[in-house]
Amino acid sequence: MTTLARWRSSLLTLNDRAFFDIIRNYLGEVKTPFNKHELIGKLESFLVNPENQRRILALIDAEDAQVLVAVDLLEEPTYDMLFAYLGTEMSYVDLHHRLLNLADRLLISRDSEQNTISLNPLFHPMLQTRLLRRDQVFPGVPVGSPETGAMTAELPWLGDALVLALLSYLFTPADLFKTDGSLRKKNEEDLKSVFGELMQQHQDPLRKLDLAMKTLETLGLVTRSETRLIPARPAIDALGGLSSRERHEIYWTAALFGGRDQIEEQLNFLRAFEENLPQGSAYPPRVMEQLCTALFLRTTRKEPPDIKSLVVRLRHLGLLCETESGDFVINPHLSTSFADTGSPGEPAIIVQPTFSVTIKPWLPLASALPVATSAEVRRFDRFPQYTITKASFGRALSAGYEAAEIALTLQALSGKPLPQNVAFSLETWAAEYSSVALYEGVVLIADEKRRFLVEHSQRMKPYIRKRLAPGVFLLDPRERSVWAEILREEGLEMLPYSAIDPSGGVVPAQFLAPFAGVGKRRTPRNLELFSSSEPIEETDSSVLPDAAEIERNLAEALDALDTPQDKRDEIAERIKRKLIVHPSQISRHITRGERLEAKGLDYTGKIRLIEQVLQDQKSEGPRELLEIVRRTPRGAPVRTIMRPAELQKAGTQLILVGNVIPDESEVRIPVSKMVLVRKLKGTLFG
Amino acid sequence: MVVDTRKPLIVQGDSTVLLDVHDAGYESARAEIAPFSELEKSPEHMHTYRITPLSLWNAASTGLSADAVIETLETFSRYPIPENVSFYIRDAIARYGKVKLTAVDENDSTLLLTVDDDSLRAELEANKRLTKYLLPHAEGFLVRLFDRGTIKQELIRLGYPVQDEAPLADGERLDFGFRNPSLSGVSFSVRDYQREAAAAFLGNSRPGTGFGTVVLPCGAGKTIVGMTVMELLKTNVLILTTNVAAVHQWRDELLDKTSLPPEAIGEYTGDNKSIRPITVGTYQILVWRSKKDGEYPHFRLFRERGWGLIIYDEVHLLPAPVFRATAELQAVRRLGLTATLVREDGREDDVFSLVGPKRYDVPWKELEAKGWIAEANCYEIRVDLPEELKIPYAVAGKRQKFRIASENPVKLEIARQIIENHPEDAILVIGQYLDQLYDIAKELDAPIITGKTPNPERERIYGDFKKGLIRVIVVSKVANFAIDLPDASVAIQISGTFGSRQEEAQRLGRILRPKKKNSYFYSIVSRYTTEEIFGANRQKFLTEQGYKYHIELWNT
Repeated sequence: MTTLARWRSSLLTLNDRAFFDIIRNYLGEVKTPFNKHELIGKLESFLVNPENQRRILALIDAEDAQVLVAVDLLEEPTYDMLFAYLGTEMSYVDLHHRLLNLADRLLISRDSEQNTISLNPLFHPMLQTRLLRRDQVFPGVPVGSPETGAMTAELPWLGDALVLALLSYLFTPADLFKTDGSLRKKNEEDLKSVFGELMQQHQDPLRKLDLAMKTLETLGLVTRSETRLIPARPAIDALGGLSSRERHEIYWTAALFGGRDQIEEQLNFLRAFEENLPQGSAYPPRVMEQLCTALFLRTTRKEPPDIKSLVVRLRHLGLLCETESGDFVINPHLSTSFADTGSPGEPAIIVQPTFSVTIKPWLPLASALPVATSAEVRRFDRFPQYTITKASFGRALSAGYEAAEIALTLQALSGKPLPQNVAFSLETWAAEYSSVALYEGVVLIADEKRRFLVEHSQRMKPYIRKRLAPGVFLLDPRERSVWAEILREEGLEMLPYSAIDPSGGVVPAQFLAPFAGVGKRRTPRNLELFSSSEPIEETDSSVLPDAAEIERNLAEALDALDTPQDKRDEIAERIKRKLIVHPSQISRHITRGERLEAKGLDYTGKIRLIEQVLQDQKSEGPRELLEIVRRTPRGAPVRTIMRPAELQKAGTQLILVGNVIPDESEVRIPVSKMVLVRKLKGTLFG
Repeated sequence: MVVDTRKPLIVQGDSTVLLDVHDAGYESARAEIAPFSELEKSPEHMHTYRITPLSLWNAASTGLSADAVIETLETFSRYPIPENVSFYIRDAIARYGKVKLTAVDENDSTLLLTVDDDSLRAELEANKRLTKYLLPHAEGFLVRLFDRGTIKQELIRLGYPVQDEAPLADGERLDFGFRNPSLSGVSFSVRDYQREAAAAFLGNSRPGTGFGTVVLPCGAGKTIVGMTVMELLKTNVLILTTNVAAVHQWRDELLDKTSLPPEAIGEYTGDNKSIRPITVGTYQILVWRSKKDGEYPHFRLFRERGWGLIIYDEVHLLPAPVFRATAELQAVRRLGLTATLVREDGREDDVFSLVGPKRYDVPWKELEAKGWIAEANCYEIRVDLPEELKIPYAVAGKRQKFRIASENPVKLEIARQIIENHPEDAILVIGQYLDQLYDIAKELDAPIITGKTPNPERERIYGDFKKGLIRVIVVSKVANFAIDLPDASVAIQISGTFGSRQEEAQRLGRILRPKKKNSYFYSIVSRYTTEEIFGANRQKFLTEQGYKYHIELWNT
């Protein structure tokens, strides 16, 4: 359904009273017989009339504009989203009033099912050119201009190259942390010599290497035992299966938000960030925060985290760069991080006769993993340096790589035959490795009578690591649950299973496919935050009239109207609230009497209004709210917007019970303490 | 960030510079970065240079600015230069020249130290270690001539290398020239790079020149560079070198290639202490003293004549006490000769302060390409222990294990085979254990040189070896330093630990002399023993130097 069709449909679903109130306000008296479709058509004609549009636009003040821009930016936001975005600019009560008013002026409409707000499509083109242009909403300055000064941009430091280097470091089984969780001194020194600048202390956020380690942990690429971080191959392999871009986005998202529960939505934020921020435009920190808030709300539709700190992290990760003036710019080299090939013919690694291996930073994780596993990282820098040692080669063999596979990978990636001394050493080390073997597993001993059940089982074959002696089998501990079941089914029902440690070596299920569904790019909504709309060319007919002049003009028309005072007041109120934009609307037939507030000593009036709103809670469609004003002991007014639940009797007192908007906390207010009760309608005409 | 993969350099954040040997711009990049960086490793594909404060001060002393250094890096770099590296270069170079030493007047015994920074001046004035050497003056500080070296040492430790522009003394004159052909009848001329090195050292003879270090690989003819400087200066020269054999080598070279008569050349060693216009002595005799805390009586050698030049051969081995004497000799021209600026004791800054900054450097690969030094091939041959030694090896202690592995008798068979494979070559067999060496010498019927071999006997053997009368000599580990074996083209290391990097460089230098054919360096190692660890260290060192290293199994 088009947005216009949706708008029309929303009018048709209004109850008659609300529908005719709208029609009367804009078109005057409705004569019977009527046809609702025709009336909507006439309303549309009124609203698209150029003169009326100019008047409506002229009456949009700065705060209206702020809300309209937010509605447009956040793309059909909920109330909560709007408040999250505008919360620092206006109170919830003000925002609520403003939204009601904009709805009354038909500039926005609310989808009661989705509880979302959208711009009236009839005004969209006009608003788009005049109000919603992103370069006006988020004014940026070209980088390199005198206002911003120069800017240097490096590739973001967190990427495959660093992840590989860290994994390579962690592949060597050694205690990394003290029992209090801090790094052991020796490792601190080691890490400083390998990772240099990444180990520089930061007050906040974390120093880069700590953040990288935390990210690996967040993503399940390593698991933490008490004093160690242990690489988790299944998770690493799963991540390696994604594209370079997807992997980098996952690293950055995990580092930015520090969790995996909502990573999918957070990834959408990051992608929108990458795709929407104009290259080469610098934004002051405050504007960048607004931009990030808008992007986060729009892409995740969830309450944003602390945006100030998010922007600091974006900068810390190098996704944002800073100009000399302190403005922020999206890193122009983000896409370079996603490159997974060098220039044509350029080898991905360099293997030297010294056993040193240089891994080019663009080599993808999956391809580089066998290399980083079989070598020790010596220096993480622009071109990370590794060295193949006997120990590192051995650990690669222990990790399940074949010696020939490693040699072939090194050769294929370097594009040259391995140096003779390196090839010779790998072969020698592999022979040495296989000449003495250390197996970890579960020993199954079956006596002569039952042995055949194991020996001849085709299903057990893959789980037997070694036949140690007749009837003595070494089984794979990681697949315990599988082979235990097979053995039972094969007839070894009395398997003394309880004697087996159930915790050791099992790969947690969540690591088997930890990134399922995460890697795929999803754009559930239009993320084109910076859609290109040309600035309007001002012509005589497009010049907006002066708002004060319109109000004067309307006041004169009202003066000329012969109507009772209460009607006159109602019309004057509508002019003030900008529901009336053209003198043709000023007619005694546009209003119907309705009481919206009770104050002072009008106790009965207050009770009646409360009861009306309570009654409304049972109906379908937009619910009415109550605005209650009380006074503190010192006499200061306290305004509360609430959704009433019930009126309770406590002794001689009536107490209103309900939920405060927006946080939904319960509130109990004695009616006698209320100095004002105001009915807040879904719309004026609701 | 503009990435240009067609460029050969990668400047890393830790101030190392990787140079892609296969890039078309390799040659020019190498030449351009050499003045301000030290070659750390030069294996087959990617060389590593390091930019250090000393390398930058060496560059600054030749007039290179920080902008020029950064521009060179930018020109050849694949990626933008990391900001911290640019800052580091600017900071280090800015320090050079902030403190200058100049003469107050020609005959005065004091010098003027000017400081180009008020806060630095205040810092120096407040430094307690410096107060005894510095006398505040309107234009800076006055320094006694005697303290010229010491103040330079102290200031470089504070991170401020002194630009020494005080004049140098000319020394007593001595006329001589080169011969061509040489006395031995061989055509002789100074090679271009040797002449360039001498010219770089002497500079324009203005203040600030005439002291410094020339870095050339083993076998490149550093002696000839020293002689060229001597010939240009025509003055009395004191040459200090590492041992008696090297003293004799200098003397022989001077007699062979210059017009100097024998009586003009003195020898100052344990056996002979004649002081002549050209005197060649050892560091060893200079630092001899009768008591541990006594004076060094032979330091008087420095004052015996009006030396116009002191040459420090193998300056990276210059003993610490000689630095002290050198600190007092700052008015004399000083030439350091070495294959490497790296000192095991880390006192590279003393070489910079007291002998002088690097004035000339040419990597061995370039000389190898031009045929000035031999191309070397390195082989490691692994051999199993014989069955009867396997159990003794398994039950032996750590030291004994190494000895059993080293003395593996099968090595003799291999050495013999190698010698047979090189019928035209002059061959050195090097080892650590004397028993083993005597056995091998006997088996091969070759002469042996150990630390106990008297000098005349040693020189006779060298003489026969040079003349080609003998083709194989067996030498102990202690005998393979600073000896000159011009025609050795094969070395067979049958035992011995991996020494320091210097020792290994020296050992390799024995076979790198210019020849018409390639050189071979064999190490024989017992397989599956602790000897392999030392083999691995040697392998690392040699491959870092750029040598191809082959490992082969000996089939017993």
